[in-house]
Formats: sequence, structure tokens, C-alpha cells
Amino acid sequence: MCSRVQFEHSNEVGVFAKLTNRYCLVGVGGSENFYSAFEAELGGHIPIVHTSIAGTRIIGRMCAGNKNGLVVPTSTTDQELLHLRNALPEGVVIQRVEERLSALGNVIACNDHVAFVHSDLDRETEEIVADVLGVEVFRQTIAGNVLVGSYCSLSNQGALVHPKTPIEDQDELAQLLQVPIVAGTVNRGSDVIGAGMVVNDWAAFCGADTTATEVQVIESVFKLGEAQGSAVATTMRDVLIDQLA
Amino acid sequence: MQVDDELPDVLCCECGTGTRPNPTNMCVECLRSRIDITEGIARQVAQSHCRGCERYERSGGWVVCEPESKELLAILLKRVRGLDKVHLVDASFIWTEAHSKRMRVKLTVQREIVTGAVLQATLIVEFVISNKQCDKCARVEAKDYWVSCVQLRQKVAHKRTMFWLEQLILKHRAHADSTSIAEMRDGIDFFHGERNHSEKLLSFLQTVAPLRYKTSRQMITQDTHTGVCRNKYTYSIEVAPVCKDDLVCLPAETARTLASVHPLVLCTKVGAHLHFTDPRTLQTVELLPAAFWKRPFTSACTREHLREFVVLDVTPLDCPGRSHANGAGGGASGGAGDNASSRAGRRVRGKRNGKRAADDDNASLGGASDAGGGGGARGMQNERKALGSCAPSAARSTGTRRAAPGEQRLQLAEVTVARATDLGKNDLTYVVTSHLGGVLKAGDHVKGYDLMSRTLDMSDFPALSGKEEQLPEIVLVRKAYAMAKRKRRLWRLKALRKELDEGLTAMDVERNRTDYETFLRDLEEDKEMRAEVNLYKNPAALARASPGAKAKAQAGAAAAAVVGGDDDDDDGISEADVGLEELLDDLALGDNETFDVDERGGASADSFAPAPFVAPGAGAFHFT
Repeated sequence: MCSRVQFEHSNEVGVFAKLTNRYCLVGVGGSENFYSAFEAELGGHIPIVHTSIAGTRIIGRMCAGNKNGLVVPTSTTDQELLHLRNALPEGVVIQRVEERLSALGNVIACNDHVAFVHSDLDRETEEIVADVLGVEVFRQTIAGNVLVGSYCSLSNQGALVHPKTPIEDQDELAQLLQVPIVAGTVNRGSDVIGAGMVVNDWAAFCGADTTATEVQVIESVFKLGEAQGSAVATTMRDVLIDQLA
Repeated sequence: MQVDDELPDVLCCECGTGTRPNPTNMCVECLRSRIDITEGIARQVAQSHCRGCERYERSGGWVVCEPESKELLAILLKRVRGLDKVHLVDASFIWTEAHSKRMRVKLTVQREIVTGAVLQATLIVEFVISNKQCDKCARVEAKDYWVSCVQLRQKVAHKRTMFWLEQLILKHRAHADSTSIAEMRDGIDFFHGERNHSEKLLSFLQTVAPLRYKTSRQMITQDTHTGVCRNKYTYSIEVAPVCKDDLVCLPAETARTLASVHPLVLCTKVGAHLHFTDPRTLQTVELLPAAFWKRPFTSACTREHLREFVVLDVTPLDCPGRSHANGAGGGASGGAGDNASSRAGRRVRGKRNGKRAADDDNASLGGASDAGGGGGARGMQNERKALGSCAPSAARSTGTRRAAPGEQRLQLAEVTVARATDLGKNDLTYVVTSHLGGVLKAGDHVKGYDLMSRTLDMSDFPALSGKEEQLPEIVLVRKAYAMAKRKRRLWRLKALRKELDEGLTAMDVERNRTDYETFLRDLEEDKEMRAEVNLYKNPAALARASPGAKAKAQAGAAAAAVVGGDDDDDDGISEADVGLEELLDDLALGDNETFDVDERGGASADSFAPAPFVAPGAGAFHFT
């Protein structure tokens, strides 16, 4: 299900939130509207954590994570780290990385299996990302942009990339991800996909400006809502039947 | 960057149709419907247009434009509000009926809506042409079309100076800025649209005439809020009332400052300065206009008072030096006194007018005549014949310099003259010391002032009051070229196109006509004067001249024989005739705003000197 939300009049949802299959981080805002939108959608399934990273609210751009772990920049305070450790579920590893490119959310895009990273990222960071998040790491660009975290949004179901990504690049990315990939936009034509939306395997949140067409694209590529149900009925059916048999 | 061809279509975020990725990621239709870049551009604009002069109003003023011209387009586009927000790519007129008072312009504009995305749109702007009288037309309607006026005046009884200045103005095109020119009783008015045009004319006139001027200003309107006011300026110019050939008695102080010249002098030239010559000593002085106006004076005798005399004999005198004038103060009729010895043996016929003659030397009393004692017409004829034959040899023997053209012609001489009117009546002759020794010879006619027979108003001679004995009997002024017959002039002058003063009477017109003829003759008789103005060929007169005369004219000695006698020499002809080589071909300027004379039909060409003053506006003169 794709919901339209706004963080204090900003449509850049991906900047103020980080959503994975096992937890959700939300920036500390003036009001709880943003939080409650997440609460309404995800409440009871995964913990939704209010936090700041390095004293900022732009947590979506500062950290990278999936169901296995979370990497935060060195500027993260001990208190924040402690808070995150306490709040995140068991089994989610939190790791601080010493990285020059400290906005980790902009330079790392990942789902639970694969991560694309900025081509200039440290090798150590790359190793840490691979270890902590349990993913295969690829140095990639999206439509010529090195900030892979800003210009794409990945889940285990699909991927939405910058609208100007060429067919060949899309094919390559799909090969690496092993999920369908689509070039599209959010927030009424904005091409900064990663900053404009957050997504996990069953829910997505995008800016309030996002048009119905864009929502439809998002839902179809990430197999959300009814599409998900139908996926259970179609693609998973063989497996289920196999297991049941 | 990728080539666009490799890029997959993305769905338009508004309508979901596939479209090329662009910075807005919207299809063009959705963009157009969402964003109107022509917003804020006025669609209907008023444009002022003056019906009087067919000009369009612009921020800086009014300009003439062809319909659908680029100049007009530029003016119209300046009027459109909101065009500064967009980038104008193209503009063109859409045809409309001229009388619809509408002009439609198709504009193509571009505007960057987000970084890298430029939207282009076409719109039509309609201009409503509204009538508005421009300032100039409004002033014309209000009969208020000048800002500055030059009033050129000379307070004398004739208009020759004005004719002369008119020719100078024409030659130097000093009238080019004038909006209108009006003929007035004592001069000419020049009207200008700007004050500095008048200043320009004034400074030109200062270089050609001795004048003084007064400036005055009249406020027409004033804006009390801004303090801006509009004024009319008037330059009242007065030319010194002394003309060439006038006999002048200088004020004593003036004469003293001018190298103590004898106060009684002849005006020989009027330019930026006044030039005076003492005819009895050849002393020549110049008077600056400022000095003139400090102690202004009028002429004692003017051209109207000239009488004609016949030269009976010329005896050149050695120039006695400039100190002569001082000596003349004591002796009666100076030159005569100094040269008494040289004149003692000369023939003087007839008797002097008793009272004056008594003051003179005894030579004038030795009245025995040796030639035509009878004194009748026959005797005079004989005398003239005899003189005519002997004069050249006498001139040669005494080494008198016959001045070559252009050379200084002043030569002191004793000239024996008789009144032309006296010929055949009596035998009165007079011996006059004159500066015309270089040009006169026996038998010539000469013009001069006959102070003896005139009743003089001694207030004209303030410096000589109480010293009447210093007054000469006769002052010779200029050689007379009797017009043998009315010759058709091969040349003509241009004239300013003037409006007439309604106050002119028929008498004024007649007087003007006479003055003009005099002026033309002056031109014919004075080569130096001619050189300063433009003379034009008169094609009608040239065509009518007989082939023989034409050939003669082309040879440089044009047909007009001038002096009546057979004893004319080449000098006489060249002096008083206008050679064809001096004439200019007229440039046909059409009927544009020039004030020059244009052609008038041959109908008037036969009549003598069609008066320039009777045909207002036509301004076409043919002098035949």
C-alpha cells in the first residue's frame, strides 16, 4: 500500500524517514502527523523509532539499512547510538562507519540482498556495508549520477530508478538485483526517487505531491496492495503448493 | 549524458501517457494545461497615434513609422507589459484593416519553468490605436510653433542690407533650422523650434554685420509642482544703420579713437566691422560694432542723396601720407589746399558757387576756359572728346597706377567734375579731391554727394558744428555705370521663403522692388560683393539669349554691355558685368522644406524683376 505523507510541508519523505522490513526510523518533527501516518500503516508490525542522527532530522539521508543491520556515520552521537540499539529489534546490527561521504543514505541504496554504493566509497566502508547489511555490494551509478541512494529506491520486490536511466543500465541493474526495475518519478515529476519516497516489501510512503499515476507506478513495481495479494496467488502459488504437497 | 533516443519513455506524472523524460517529467499537454507562461502578458494594449503628423508615440517622443514596419513593431513591443518576464523569440504582424484601428501582433515567447525546462508559447497581442495629438501638432493648432525668434532689423529707409544678409544667410544655409521666416517692415523675423538654433543664427550674423542684440524671455507655461517652465525667447538684433557709400560724420570722440581721422568719412564696406575711408586723404579706419554702439551715429548722406556727375579731368596725386588728415583740420577743404600748387595750372571752367568758392583756393577762381568757351552742349561734347583722347596718355605719363582687378583701387586724385544735370545749361565745374582716382577717367560718370546744393542739417555733422567751412562741396562716392538699356540678366538669386507682413502697403512693395533692383545692380557692379554670395544661372534667360550672345557669354564676357559710352575699356566691362563662370547651376531640390527659390513658370520671366514681395509663399524670382 502506498501512502502520501508530508513532513512539515516537505514532500521529501525519504529524507526524514528510513523504512526497512524490520524497523522504521522517523525524524523528530514538530508535530506527530508524519509519525502517525507511519504508525497507522506499520503499527504493530515493526517498531517505529523516533530518532535523530548526528543531531539532525534528515535521518533518511544519513544512514543506510535493511532487515539485517543499520550503518550510521561517525558523527552519530553515542546517545543516539544507544537509543537506536535499544529501540531496534533483536538481530539488527548497528555499526558506525568512518566514511568521508557521511550522508550514507545518499551514497548507499540497498535491499535485503544487494547494495549499490557510490563509486568513491571507501573499501573499508564497502566491506562493513557488506558485513553488517549482509548484502552483495556493487559500485554503480544511476543515470550518470553517483549518488545512488538519492536517485533510486529498492525493495525486495522491485526498484524505481531515475527517469533518465537508459534501457541498458536498467537491464544491468535488474540483472544485479534480480527484481523488476522501472524508471519513474515521484512528487509530481521529481526525479530524486530515493529522497521522495521510502519503501519496504509491503508498504511505501511518498510525498503528498505524488500523483495518482506515480502512485500507480510505485504500487505496481513494488507489488504493493492488491498487486501483492495477487502475487501470492500467482507467483508464490507454485511454491506453496509444492510445500503443501 | 545519454542520447535521448536511448532513453525509455516514462509515464507523465499527470496523465500517465508515455513521454520522453524531461526535467518536469510531464507531457507537453499537461505542462501547457498546468503552466501558462503567457500569464501576465497584456493581451490588449493601447498605442497612441497622432493624426496630424501620422506619428506614433514612443517613450522618448513621437516617430514616423511605416505600417507593419520593424520600427513600428519595436515601438509596439515596448508597450507590452510582462514581456520582460519571458524570452521573446519571434514577433510578426497579422494583417488588419487600416481603418480598424487595431494592430495584431503574433508573439512567440519562451520561459524557463524549472531548471533546464523551457516552455514556448504563441500568443496574439492586440494593439488599439488611439488618437492623441502630439505636442508639436497641438502647438501648431494653437498657432504656437516657435520657441525662439530672431528679429533682424535695420532702421534705415531701404532694404538693401536685408537683401544682402538674406543672400549671405542663403549661401551659408544659416536659415536651415528656421521653422518659418517672416518679412517685416524693417527686417526679417526668423522663428526657431529651439533656442540654440537662434543662438546659432545670431552668432552667424555677428560675423557678417555690425549689430547689437537684446534677449528677452516670455514665460508661456509653468508647472508649479516641478518648477518646469516653458519660455519663448526673442533675440532682437539691430544692425548698425550705416550702409556702404554713406557719408558719415563720426562723433568727435570716435574719430579721435580712430587714429584721429577726419570726422567726415565715407563708409566703404560693412562687414563684421564698419570700414570708413576719408576720401580726401585715403585714410582708412575700421570701427568695431561695440565702439559703434557705444556712441551710435547715423549717416549724414545716404544713397538716396547721390547725384550724378561727369568727370572732366583726373589728376592723380601722390599719396600725401596719412598725416594728411590732421593737416586738413586747419586748412579749408584740406586736399584742395595742399595741392594748390599742382592744381594751379589746371583748367577750371565756370564759376564756383560764390560763398563756398571764396573759402577755396584761388585756383578754382581761375575760371578761364580754353576749350569750349561757349559752355553749351556742343562745347561739352568737344571737351569730353578732347579729354577722352588725352586722359590715357596723361595717365601713362604720370605713372598713375590703374589698379588691376582685386588690387587696392584707392588712389588719391583731383577730379574735375560737373553736375550731369548742368550739362547743356551752364559751365559750372568743380575740383574735388577724391579717393576714386584709380577708377575714374575723364568722361566717366560718377556719383557723389552734392553737399553744396543740399540744405544740410548740421545736426548730422555734430563734430563739424561751427566748422562748416571744413565741409567739402562735393564728395565723390562711386563710379556710375549707366545702364545703356535694360539687359536681361543671365543670372538670378535665390530667396528665402518668407511670410509677408500684412502691414506692408503698396508703397512699401514698390519701394522694396526698387531697393531690390538697386541691390542687384550693386552686385553687378561689385565683384567682391558678388564673390560672397551665390549667383545662379537663369536657364530661361540663357536659353533666350541669342546664339551669338551666348557664345560671347561663354567666352567669359557676357552680353551685358554696361557703360553707355564708346570709350569703355575692358576694365569697365569686367567690373560691372557678371561672367558666366561666376554662376552656379541650380540644384533642383524639389518642393521640400527648403526656403530656396524654386522655379516659376516662364510667364513672369518677361516682366522685369517680378517683385519678391508681391507673391507670398511662391518665392520664385526670375530677374530678366
